[in-house]
Amino acid sequence: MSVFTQFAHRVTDDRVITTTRASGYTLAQYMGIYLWLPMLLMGAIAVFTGFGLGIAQGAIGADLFETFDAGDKADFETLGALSAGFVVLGIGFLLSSISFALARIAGVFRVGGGQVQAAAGNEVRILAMPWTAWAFLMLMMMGFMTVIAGFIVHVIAASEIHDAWTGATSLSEPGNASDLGLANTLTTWAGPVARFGVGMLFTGIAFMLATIIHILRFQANRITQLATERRRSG
Amino acid sequence: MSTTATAKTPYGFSVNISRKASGETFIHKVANYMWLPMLAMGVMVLAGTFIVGIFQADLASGTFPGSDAGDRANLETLKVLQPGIIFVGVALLLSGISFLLASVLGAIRWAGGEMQEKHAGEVQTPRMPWTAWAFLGLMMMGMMLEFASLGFHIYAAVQAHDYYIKGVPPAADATHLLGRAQTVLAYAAPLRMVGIGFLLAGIVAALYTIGNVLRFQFDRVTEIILGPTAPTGYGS
Repeated sequence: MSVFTQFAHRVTDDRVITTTRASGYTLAQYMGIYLWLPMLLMGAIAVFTGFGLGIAQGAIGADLFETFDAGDKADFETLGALSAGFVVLGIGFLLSSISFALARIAGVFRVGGGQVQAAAGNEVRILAMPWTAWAFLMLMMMGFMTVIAGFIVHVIAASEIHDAWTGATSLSEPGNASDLGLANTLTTWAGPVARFGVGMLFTGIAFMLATIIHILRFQANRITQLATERRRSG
Repeated sequence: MSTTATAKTPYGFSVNISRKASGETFIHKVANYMWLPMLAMGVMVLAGTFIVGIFQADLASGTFPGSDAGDRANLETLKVLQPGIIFVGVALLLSGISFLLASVLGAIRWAGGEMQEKHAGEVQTPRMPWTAWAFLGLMMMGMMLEFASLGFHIYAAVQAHDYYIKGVPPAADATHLLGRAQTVLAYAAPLRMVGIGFLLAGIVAALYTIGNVLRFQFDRVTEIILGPTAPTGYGS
């Protein structure tokens, strides 16, 4: 057997747990049950905060472009950076909420599948956590941490932007060019970093969907197996 | 289906009890037909913006340094317009996913009903829970916000075009046009993310509903095997 085939078998072969009664949720599934709602709420709060900051920025902008004021310009630019940070943080929370809701569904399959097998009077076979589920966990945690890192960089950049534009002499002449340079460098980093985090969260969701398909296939096979055993014995 | 009674359940929804299985609801049927057009439109919009992006890059390479005011105006207009259109594309893709999830709910409803009709005396069909209504509302709100945000982007793009068409460099007395464009974009940029937020929240509501319906179905199957006093594994 080739190395590739061996690897493929190692990856795709199911590890099955056999018990006499239905099992409960795993820790990750418990987290899914309890955390999807807080994540959803925090996501909504962050996105609406970003939107509120955008409205404030627009209101300042309306005055700023009629009569120039250095303070207004500093606030306008600062709010822009903060608003971008908050909305991307909100999207990170919302994607985490989707991830937790999917983990909850995987838990329902685990408990429900075991429960039906036990009711049918057979030994209970449950799929051990496949590698796609581990990948999902890793990607979700790393993705979320990356999004938070991106948000923190946005906040630091916003502070630098405020310092840079305080004392500005016109719409295009900052008060402190070196601070503006630092802020631009930070925002150049923060955007892609946060988007990379969002990308990891999306990839994690894809792995969780692959896990659910895996579970569904396993359960369909198990039902066929039970029906065949019953026909043979009866 | 002729409903004979309604009963409450611990899963967050009531059930209709009848002798015959009910089919999919109107919303499920719409979802069965709509997910593919939504995905296709999303892909087309994104592919379109990609092609326009190539045209934009070509314009940019010719515009700097110097060149005429018309090219600069077109470039700046596209720059303002593109994020709005990209987000409409993303919203269409997320709507496609939402319709697919509604389609999954329809399949669970249909298959659960058929199974109960064959193996149990009565068919218990979940009534549409509030989370499913929330899912629909969030999805529609999300799409509307994306189109509203696109409207803001179009307005800002027109202002940017009017500013840059005034010459190279643009006339100083036209700065208010650029200011208006930047002010409108300050509203539009977070608004488009709020739209995406609504669509993602709708997906969460759909997944929560699927989880609850599955819990009900597993308990119902157990009940059919063991009888009405069957214990459930979910603790509720």
